[in-house]
Amino acid sequence: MRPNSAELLQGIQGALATYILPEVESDYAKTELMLVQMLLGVVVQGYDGAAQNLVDDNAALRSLAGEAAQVLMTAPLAGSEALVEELGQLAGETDASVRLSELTAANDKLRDAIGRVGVLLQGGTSPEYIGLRTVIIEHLHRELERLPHDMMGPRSDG
Amino acid sequence: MPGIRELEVSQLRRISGGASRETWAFDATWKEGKARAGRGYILRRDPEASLLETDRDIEFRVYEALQGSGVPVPEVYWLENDPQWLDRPFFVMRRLKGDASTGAVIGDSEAAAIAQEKVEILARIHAFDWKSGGLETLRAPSTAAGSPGVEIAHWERIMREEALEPQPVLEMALAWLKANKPAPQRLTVVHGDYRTGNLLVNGGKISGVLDWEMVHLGDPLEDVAWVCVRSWRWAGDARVGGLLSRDDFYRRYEEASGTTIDRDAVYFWEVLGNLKLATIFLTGARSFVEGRSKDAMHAFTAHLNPDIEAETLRLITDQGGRS
Repeated sequence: MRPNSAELLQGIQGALATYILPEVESDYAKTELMLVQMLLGVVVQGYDGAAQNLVDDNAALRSLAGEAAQVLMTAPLAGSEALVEELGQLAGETDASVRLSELTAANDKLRDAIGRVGVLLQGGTSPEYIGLRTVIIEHLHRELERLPHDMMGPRSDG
Repeated sequence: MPGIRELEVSQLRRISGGASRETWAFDATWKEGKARAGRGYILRRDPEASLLETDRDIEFRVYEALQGSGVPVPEVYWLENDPQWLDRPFFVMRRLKGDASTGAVIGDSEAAAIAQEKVEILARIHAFDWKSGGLETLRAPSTAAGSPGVEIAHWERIMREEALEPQPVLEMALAWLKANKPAPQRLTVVHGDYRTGNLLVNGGKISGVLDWEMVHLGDPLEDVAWVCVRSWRWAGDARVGGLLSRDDFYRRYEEASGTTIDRDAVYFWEVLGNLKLATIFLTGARSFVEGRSKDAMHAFTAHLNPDIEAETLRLITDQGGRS
């Protein structure tokens, strides 16, 4: 059935800009309306790839969980025993459906566990720990790159 | 307002901005004796839900305490804690002339002078005698050295209460912060949100420092670092606050405050600043998702977190072997 969800949202954005915004007098309401339009843009942007992004991220996180379990099994840290078991279990799971709610629940479990590994590795000086921490940070960077950027405008590092 | 007659209120309008309270502007005129007087006011009302839960009494008291201190703040008139009048508590203060929008400030022909004044006012805030100024009850550590721990605990608690989903980047940032605490020497008033956007500018001069919702006692370098946070580089280049280079800012602050900046400590506070900003936005997101807030700003700000998290990761890894 057309228009699909993304097309509908884009249409609503257009209607707001064309018919509603010019009629709004309050500066505060104008700001709110512009924010609503931007939020609709965020939904449209993420609509098509939402499930695939989660499927891909879950697969990458499971691989990372397996790698972390291996490192922590070979070179245990204080409190890592239970985490190794949990990571091993998570690494063996698969996504049973492509419903966003189920993919997100699995993603949350994986990200929670990887976050705890990252915390455990803080201050670890052996090459295995530094290497694993780097891989985790690189993964988190990749996740962030898939999300909307520069919504406050361009910024400079340094 | 005893002794006045024929009070009229007009031009009531809501203003965007202010992390934790609704801001409304209005004009009032009245008859005093035979003459008609008038003034512009700002009303700050507790919101239904906000980016931050803060104490209006503290903000009101700080505005009172800073009158005549050399820190430009609006005069405050009334604090009403009883919600029966406007549904929620509020306070009223004088409306100062000026524009706080970041575009107006960094695009001002007097931007260089504003930058200098911004630094000098910050040094004045940090030099304020909070003991004799009646601000001992602000959130504070027992000693200067305790301020990093108090601030980490404060923002960690809020982050854990407000996050709707796992936050691996913020968890790693917390671990980094706990392992890299500096040892501050001074305990001063910390504005907590001192940045371009909260400074009212009029005629090339700063006419008011606004939004004291996060004020507390702590390490003044926390404010110095907050000025430098990437999100506030409004000009799109490396100038902090969109106004001056980091080195220039440090040098001028050292001159104005008569202190030496510990660069490592500022680095710590900048990591904490990014964690704090991300946490504030998580708070807004929760209130929006739970339906306590209908303000689109609270949904929008959550989408600013990926940039803040990327900056946080950069800071906790790219730091000259301090990981």
